[in-house]
Amino acid sequence: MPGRWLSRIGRWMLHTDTFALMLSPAIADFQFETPTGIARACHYYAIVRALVGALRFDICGDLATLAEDIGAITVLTTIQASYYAFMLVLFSGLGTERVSTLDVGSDLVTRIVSYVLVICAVCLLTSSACFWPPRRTCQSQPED
Amino acid sequence: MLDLLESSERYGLELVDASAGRLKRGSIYVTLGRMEAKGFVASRQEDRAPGAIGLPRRLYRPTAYGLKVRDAYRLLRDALALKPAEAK
Repeated sequence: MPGRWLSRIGRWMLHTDTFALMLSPAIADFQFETPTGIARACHYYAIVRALVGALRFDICGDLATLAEDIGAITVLTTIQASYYAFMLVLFSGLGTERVSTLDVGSDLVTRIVSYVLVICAVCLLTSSACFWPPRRTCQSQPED
Repeated sequence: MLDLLESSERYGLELVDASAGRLKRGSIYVTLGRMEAKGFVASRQEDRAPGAIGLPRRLYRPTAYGLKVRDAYRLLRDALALKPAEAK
């Protein structure tokens, strides 16, 4: 049955209702028509475009849901970033030197800013993963 | 799209064929899905014979709300198209 692997990918990547409303009809029409040659390629292209559109729809919905938890995400990110930044200072040896003896050149500042940005980005990712909405489910779809 | 659906229930590909090139098959399903999420159209899966293989196709029809929104949009578009002298 054509479109089977796209159906599997869609089920894996999309929310259940998004799959049912946006991708499943595209695959179903393709399976009904069973075109050949150029028309088949056009149908595949249409399904891939439907998959991309559905994925974008899902990601926008998920980000909107995440925005509702922005306060908790900020707190969690700050706690994590502070912890790892402290550890970084401790293990880098900066914490054992007197501040006055440090050579605070532009090189050091750039390095510290880079480290802090990387730490914040990683912490933001892990915090967002904690709050990422679960797969929405509706009625189960019959297997192809 | 709502105009095309008004007469009868249609499949996505039927809409593409009926639109004479104005609707693309790559975007029709996402658009219909978004319209359904907003309540402009409703859909159901086709009735299938037992033992049929493949995914069931989806039939779309406009909702009363969708038709009202379309009529309101038409009124607005016509009003905006009027010249100031005609609007009086």
